[in-house]
Amino acid sequence: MGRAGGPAAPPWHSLPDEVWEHAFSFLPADADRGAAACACHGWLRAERRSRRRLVVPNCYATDPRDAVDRFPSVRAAEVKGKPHFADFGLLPPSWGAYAAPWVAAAADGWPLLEELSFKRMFVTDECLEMIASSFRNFQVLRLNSCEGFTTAGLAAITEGCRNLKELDLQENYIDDCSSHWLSNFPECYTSLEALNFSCLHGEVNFTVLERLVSRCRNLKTLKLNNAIPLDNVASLLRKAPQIIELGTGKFSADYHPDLFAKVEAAFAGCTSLRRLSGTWDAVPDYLPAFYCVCEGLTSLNLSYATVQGPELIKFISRCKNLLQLWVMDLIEDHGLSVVASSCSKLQELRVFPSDPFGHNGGQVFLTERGLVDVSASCPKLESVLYFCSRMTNEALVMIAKNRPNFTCFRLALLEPRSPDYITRQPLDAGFSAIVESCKGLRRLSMSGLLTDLVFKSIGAHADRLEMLSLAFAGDSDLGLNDILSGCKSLKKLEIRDCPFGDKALLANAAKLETMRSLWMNSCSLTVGGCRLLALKMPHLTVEIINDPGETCPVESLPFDSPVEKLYVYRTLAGPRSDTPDCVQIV
Amino acid sequence: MNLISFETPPPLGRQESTAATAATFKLAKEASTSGTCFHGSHLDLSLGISLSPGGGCGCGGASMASYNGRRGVGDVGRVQSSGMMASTAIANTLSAGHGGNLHGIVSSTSSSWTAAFMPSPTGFMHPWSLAARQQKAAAEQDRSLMPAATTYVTSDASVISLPSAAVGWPPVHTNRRHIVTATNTPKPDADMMQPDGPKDAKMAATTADDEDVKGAPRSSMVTVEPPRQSANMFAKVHMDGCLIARKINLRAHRSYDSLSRALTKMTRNFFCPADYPCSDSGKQECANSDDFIFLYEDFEGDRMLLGDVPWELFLASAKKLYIARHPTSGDTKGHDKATKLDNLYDGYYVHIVLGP
Repeated sequence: MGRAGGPAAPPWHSLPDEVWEHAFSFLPADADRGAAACACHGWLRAERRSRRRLVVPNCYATDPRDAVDRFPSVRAAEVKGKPHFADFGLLPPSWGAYAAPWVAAAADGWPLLEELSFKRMFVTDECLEMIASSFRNFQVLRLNSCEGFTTAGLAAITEGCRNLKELDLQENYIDDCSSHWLSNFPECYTSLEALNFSCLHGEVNFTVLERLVSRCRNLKTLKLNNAIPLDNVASLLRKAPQIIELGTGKFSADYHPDLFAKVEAAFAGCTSLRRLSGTWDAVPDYLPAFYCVCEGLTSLNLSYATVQGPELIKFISRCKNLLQLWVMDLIEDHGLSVVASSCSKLQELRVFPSDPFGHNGGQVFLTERGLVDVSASCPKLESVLYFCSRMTNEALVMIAKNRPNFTCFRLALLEPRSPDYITRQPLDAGFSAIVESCKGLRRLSMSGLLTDLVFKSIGAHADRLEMLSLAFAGDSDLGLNDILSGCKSLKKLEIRDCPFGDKALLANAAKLETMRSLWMNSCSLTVGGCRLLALKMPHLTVEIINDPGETCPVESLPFDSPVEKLYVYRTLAGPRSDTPDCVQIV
Repeated sequence: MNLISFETPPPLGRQESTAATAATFKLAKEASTSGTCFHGSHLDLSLGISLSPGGGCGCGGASMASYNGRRGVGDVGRVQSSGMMASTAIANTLSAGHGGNLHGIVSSTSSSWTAAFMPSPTGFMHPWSLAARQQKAAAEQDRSLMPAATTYVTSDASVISLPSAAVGWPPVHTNRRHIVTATNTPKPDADMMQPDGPKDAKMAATTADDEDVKGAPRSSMVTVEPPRQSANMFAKVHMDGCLIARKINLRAHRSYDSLSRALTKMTRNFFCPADYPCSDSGKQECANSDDFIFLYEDFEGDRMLLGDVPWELFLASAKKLYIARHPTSGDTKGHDKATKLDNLYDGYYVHIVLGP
């Protein structure tokens, strides 16, 4: 910066854009890049032209064409659509989140696009066909919890994308048109690195699959669907021993020593295997076939495996290097205590309910004890999703004390409004302890009997909290007010069946613009309150969602007419125009 | 805490708690204020709708699940006995909760799931598509509106459990709803509950051939307990010196007395099946044998002497029963836990003490 001696260095603000682009490439988070872009026009220009990866967490927050214009050099885009509670069937099917406008805009403005990910969106076959034909270097397609397309669309992808590296279909609802999508990969095609078709229900041509796997020597991830029998799984593994992530097909068969030996030998060859999932209907007899890979496993997803008993526990206890474990509550407390003592590196635990709706009537002995054990013994544990039937404040306090490093804590007690089962008190004290102790908590889901007291704690202490899910909790608007007036980092709030009304929303309307979205269903909201909110905050879209049978126009409803479902989100694009009849934007 | 089911009619099997819950609800209603309820004018109307059986409140998303749905009568009893203070507190919570949830009911009374059918935009409705599943849920809802006269699980095909009373609760992804555990029918597309399933399981339990915990058979069958909602609650009974255990239906007994009598009968001839007329039935009037003590194991794995806690609490916490030889030849009451521990070495206990 000095002027002594030689030619003066250019002042920093007139450095060429390339320098800034290079500097910005070191910024790890998009939020940082966004902040840099606000500094001055020069930085804005440099940043937006060099942005390669774009994440749009709410597809309606902006018009797709504006996004493409602003960031012309994007190579990888991820767009998310429906709110999270759509996963539980709370959103009418025709709500929206159509991928078509995004695909069209991308085809227009991002010809060099390589990666596209959609989550909870409505993707049609036409979208897939357009993707296949618009991007000459398209490599990665990820569809997560989407619907609206069929195997015919997949066939277009496999045929048209010559450089496809990854096709990841996770938990989608795909209509099977018996299209031979797998066969459409050309014979010369060898670049596949990841293939996940676990959510497909139809048969695939196994010979074609086997040939594909044989010739793609870079295949690292393979997740099969339920239609592939165990015998064939073993054959595939022999062709792809370099595999790192495997989703087994149907991992059950009548026990036969020859088959067992074949499976065991196949796994023995997979020395690089690190992540294992699938295992639907796994039978205990075949679990020992996994033993040779247990030591290397870092991620184990048994969340669809209905196996239980000592074989399950023995299997998991051998996986000493597990970082991530997803399992059904069939593991029971005893199993979790074994996990606690065996898997000391565990970072993430998810325990899913095997019988969430009480159909079996069978008692599964998973209680708070299991979570207490794991949190006591696994020092790196930071993310928990736990479904169980009972909890105590004491257990939660103990968990909070043991594990102040939680970043994600989600507890779902199966019965709404369950109190502490010993003291019959609300679980306020327990959850308060969690938020007070876990300073880095970013995601929290609460359940059980909760009063307004717990919201006081959350508002006051949960400074880093970004996503909060509430159900059947609270007594009054004070609860919601405490949350909205506190929780500095709150981005997503989803509430169901809580006695919160308009007052808290209107009092904290400005807060809603700092958040990504707010979902409320079955609360005490009124049409009038929502209208007021929309008037007050023009940059918010306030959607009232009725049951599909009801299409009564909102304008005609009285002020205090109740609102069943509310979805509020900030947007630059104004109200969307693709709403179905049951959705009204006030 | 909601003690009644707004989801009407209450799912089958929960019928038994309705009477008790209705009583508690009445208490709550009397104690409730409408201070926090924004829409008091709707309150009575809504309550009227929600309380009438067969009311049109479908899975509209506003229903509150019955608190007692999974626990049975025992919990209600416990709540009622916890005293007026607690009840008032609960009632106040309830009243606020009412205000919140009734509107959903008001708004959704007319629109049941049967009206919710939306064909997929492509016109083709795949059986696994969201619309089809909703339609199926509607059909199941309609079917289960038939009132159930009994809480026992029968082989009657009309016994089909509803999905949870609150739509979308518990919060599991919709594609997890078709997972079936080993006791259910293996076909994921089949109806939610095999009507014969629990009944078969119950029969298997009572025969109790080789129901030893450690040597679980190779299959992945769940340790079979009948549905929570029914009036059966079978617990294993282990006897000192016997490798083979028995099962006893705790709910068939109303108090410790009858349970003790049944257990005493077992001590006389452990391998005499429960409903077999025993030759020594005349000895039933005898006092409990002084040679045995009856213990139970609770959820925490501790062995406890029978009789300390109220019956309902015992029902909720007992996992297994044990018949042990009395450590000293004295009366069965009053010996302390330490003596019991000395005589009954329990591997579980060591594990818990030395645990992490």
